[in-house]
Amino acid sequence: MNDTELDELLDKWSAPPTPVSLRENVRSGFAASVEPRTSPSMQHWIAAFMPSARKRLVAAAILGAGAFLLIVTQAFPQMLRLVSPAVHIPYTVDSEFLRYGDNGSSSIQPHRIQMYSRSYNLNGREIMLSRSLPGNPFGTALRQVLDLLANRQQPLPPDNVFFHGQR
Amino acid sequence: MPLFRFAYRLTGSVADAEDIVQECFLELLRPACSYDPGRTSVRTYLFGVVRNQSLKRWRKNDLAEEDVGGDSMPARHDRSPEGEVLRTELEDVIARAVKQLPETQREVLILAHYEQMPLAEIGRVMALDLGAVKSRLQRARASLKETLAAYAPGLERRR
Repeated sequence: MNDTELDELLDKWSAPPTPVSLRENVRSGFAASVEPRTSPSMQHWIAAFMPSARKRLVAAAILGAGAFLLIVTQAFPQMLRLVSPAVHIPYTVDSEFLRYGDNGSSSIQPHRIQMYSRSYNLNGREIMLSRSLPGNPFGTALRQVLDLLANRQQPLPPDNVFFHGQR
Repeated sequence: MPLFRFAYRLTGSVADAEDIVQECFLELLRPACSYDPGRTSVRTYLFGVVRNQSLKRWRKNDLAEEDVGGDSMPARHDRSPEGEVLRTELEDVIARAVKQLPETQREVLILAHYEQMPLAEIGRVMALDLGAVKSRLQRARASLKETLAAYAPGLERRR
């Protein structure tokens, strides 16, 4: 038998046609693999990216909480009692902290206002509810968050709340 | 579809070939897929996957059929009703002769003769160097010439 005869003989072994179901199954397999579900492949993907995703999630949560506190303290300074229901504040005092002129002038210069504050008195101690620093939004936010956290630690004040007046 | 034909000729079963080819395509979507476009073409990679999967099934089926003392190729082919109609006695003889070849010779022959794959690409699919591919193909053809000598087309015409 020569090579040509062998080739002719081998050609007589034909393969059946590709089943139609094969194409359909492959198509449906591809479609299933791109569906948004937690498949083993998706779990692998999530596991691979989880460390960085977790860090981002924690960072986003911290930023979100900070923004929330800022908005609450800025918009509803009197509502702290909701956050700390044990504290009952009948009156608050708004104050302006000023700096006098370098030459010793006692005249009030509005552009030298250092801080606005809202506070109340507790057993002779001034408890800050909120503070804002004109022209310093970052400092304002920081102080408001710190005040909020500090106020959560205060015990229930008595009914006598004193008026401080302007300084 | 060349992949289906290749899988069918390696396993002798339409159902197994279908499963293997389907699995082979879906393998590409898996995150753990080892396909590297920089190393090889998709075609070569897919033929390699089909080859490995077919070998696994071939060995499993071969062992199972050895246990019951049957001959694997016709028995597996009988599962397909279409195959029963299309298959001739001569096809069975050729299929058996190819099946009896050693594993690597059988794969090289199928890829080279039936899929018309270049020898260099066969080498990449099977992780063999070109010389090894050539020698296995030569040995496979020589062995088949001997086994199928009685069925040579010249002899048929002379009969």
